[in-house]
Amino acid sequence: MTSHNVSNASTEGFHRRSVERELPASRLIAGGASVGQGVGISRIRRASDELLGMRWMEAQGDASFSGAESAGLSTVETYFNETNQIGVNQVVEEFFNALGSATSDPSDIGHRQTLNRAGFNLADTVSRTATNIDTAITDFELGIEATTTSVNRLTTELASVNRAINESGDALGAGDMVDRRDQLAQEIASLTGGNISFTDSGMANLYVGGHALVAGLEQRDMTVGVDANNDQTILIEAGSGHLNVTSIVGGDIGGTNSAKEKAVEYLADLNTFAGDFAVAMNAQHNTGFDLNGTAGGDLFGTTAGSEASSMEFSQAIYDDAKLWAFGAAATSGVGDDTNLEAMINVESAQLFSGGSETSGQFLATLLGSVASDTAQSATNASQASAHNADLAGLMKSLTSVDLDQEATSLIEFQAAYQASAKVIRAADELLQSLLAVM
Amino acid sequence: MSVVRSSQSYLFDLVRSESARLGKEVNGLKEQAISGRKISRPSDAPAAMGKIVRLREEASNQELYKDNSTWAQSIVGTADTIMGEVTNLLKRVQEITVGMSNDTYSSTDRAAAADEIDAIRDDLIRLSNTEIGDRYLFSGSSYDAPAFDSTGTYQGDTEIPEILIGDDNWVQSGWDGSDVFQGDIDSFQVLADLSTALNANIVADVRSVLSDVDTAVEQAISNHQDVGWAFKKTDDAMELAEHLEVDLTQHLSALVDADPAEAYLRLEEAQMAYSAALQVAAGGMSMGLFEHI
Repeated sequence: MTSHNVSNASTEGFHRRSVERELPASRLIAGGASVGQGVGISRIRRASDELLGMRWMEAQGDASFSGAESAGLSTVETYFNETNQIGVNQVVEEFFNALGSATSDPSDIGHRQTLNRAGFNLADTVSRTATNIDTAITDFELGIEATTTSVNRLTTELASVNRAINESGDALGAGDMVDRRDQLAQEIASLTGGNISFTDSGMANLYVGGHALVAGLEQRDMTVGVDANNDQTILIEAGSGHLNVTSIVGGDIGGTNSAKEKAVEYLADLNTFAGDFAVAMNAQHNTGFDLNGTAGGDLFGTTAGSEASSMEFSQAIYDDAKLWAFGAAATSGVGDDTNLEAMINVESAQLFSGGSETSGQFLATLLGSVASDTAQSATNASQASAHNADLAGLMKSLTSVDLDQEATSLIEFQAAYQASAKVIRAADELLQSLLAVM
Repeated sequence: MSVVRSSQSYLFDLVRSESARLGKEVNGLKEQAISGRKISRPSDAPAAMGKIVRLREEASNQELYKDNSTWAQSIVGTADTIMGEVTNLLKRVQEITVGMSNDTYSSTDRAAAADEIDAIRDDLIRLSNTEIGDRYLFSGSSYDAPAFDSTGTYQGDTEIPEILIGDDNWVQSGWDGSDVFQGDIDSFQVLADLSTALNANIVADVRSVLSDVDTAVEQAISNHQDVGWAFKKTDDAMELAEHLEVDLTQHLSALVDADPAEAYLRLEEAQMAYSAALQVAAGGMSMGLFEHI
């Protein structure tokens, strides 16, 4: 047994075994005296703590949830990382700066071309940021779908292990199958945040939000689908239908889904910004007149529903900077900046959040949300990981192999064995002496 | 957490997690020391992000205001010089008018004075068509063409172009020539009338123009004062933008930039702890009692 323990000292999921010895019933001999029968093995005990194991499993699910959410949001955050790269806030600011700069000479083609670049950069950066977030959302969904495949593989194996345990009658769990059962449960919990219970026969039942993924010998698939809004849902098969567990699933899947939902919110905010900003700037530009005396056209184009990713700057104005409409009337002089001033004032207009925020404030709030959500998830991940590590340490300190302890046991058994050998030799010598005198 | 046994698996996990934690800390500090920034991503300082964005925008605005103020100073400064010259010319006209209102001057004297008035009128029209670059200062927003033709007829418009030199702070970058030279009184017409009176050698007519000349001088002085105020406004805006840019950049730097010495010392400290932990871990990873059997 010591050899088995030492061999598996670094085997993940292995619980050390110990031998429980017992005194066999003594044998009666002539005269009514009883003689001892040496030592026997009553059972092989597998070190475990069921309650601690359940707590560790919950902690593992929480740590995986926070870790996946944090990793996901960290990815999304990079698209808003305005501390070391150009972001939406900056290009909007540069756009208004270019408008302000044009006031020094509204007729100057150089200023107008600078504005073209600023307008193009604004639309391009908003579109690129939205496309990146959209791609991240798709990646999250694909990741969730791939993880459900892993979950199904693991739950299938767990049901199979349950069958083996049930058939072996090893409810006390001395067999290696029980190690595998616990390891599988731990892995499934890490992916789904599920919790576990055990049957009297030693089989594991695994639930996600009260819905069984594994119930003894039965396994149910976890799948993904889409709801009426075409949003991804996470399902557990139940009879001929499915249960929607999107809002209750935990672990890696739940954390990834949480990061995805936040990314969806950020994208919605970006769409709001792009749509409302384009409408406001276009409306103002439409009231002005360009250097040809023609009413201003739209500066920005967007498509409803995907305003941010579809945002683009007017190709006509980009090709002909004279089309910037700064004048108040068709007959305005070349330096008339009446409408230019009005366009600049859009920056300070409270167009967002029900008329309480400017475009800059709205974007700063969005950036603040991304920053605080990411920081909060990192803190949660750190705490959950530490808690999980504590419980893992406690669990492993109770159940895994301590080489010093095994060495001590080996010495103990060796000494007992050597002593027994000496007893046998002494008995043999006594017998030989007795035979010699006969 | 109280650990009752130190199993091999537990010890290896401990080494793995602790070395990963210390390694991550070292990497974070390296990033700070190399980039010179203590905030590398928004989540490093969520509470400060709003402030950082605002400060960066404000600092960027000051750059714009400085550029615009520099250009505005050129325009307004030139207009100030021109208005000073216009005032001086009209004061000279005032002197001539007062002098020629005296009966003692002959027709020859008045004819000579008329010549000077005509020259001054030409100068005045020349000054009213002053341009900086290709921009006529007194044509309103139609500053791509001269303000007045040779007869003193206004060619521009009444729209006043303005330059943004601060938060909601604008300064005139062009003037409506019809208002500046012909608002209270048409200065060119006054000079033409005066020239006619002098050439006709009619003292009464010369005297009758005098009040118009006085009005033209007052108009010029008033306009000069307005341009002077605009110049001061531009100067003030420039000074404010320069100070704000320095202050805002300092505030921004305090929030974002790492102190190189502090970053280096913290990195040294973390690296030392990391290497000590690795050494201790390596030393503790023996077979224990098995080595002595």
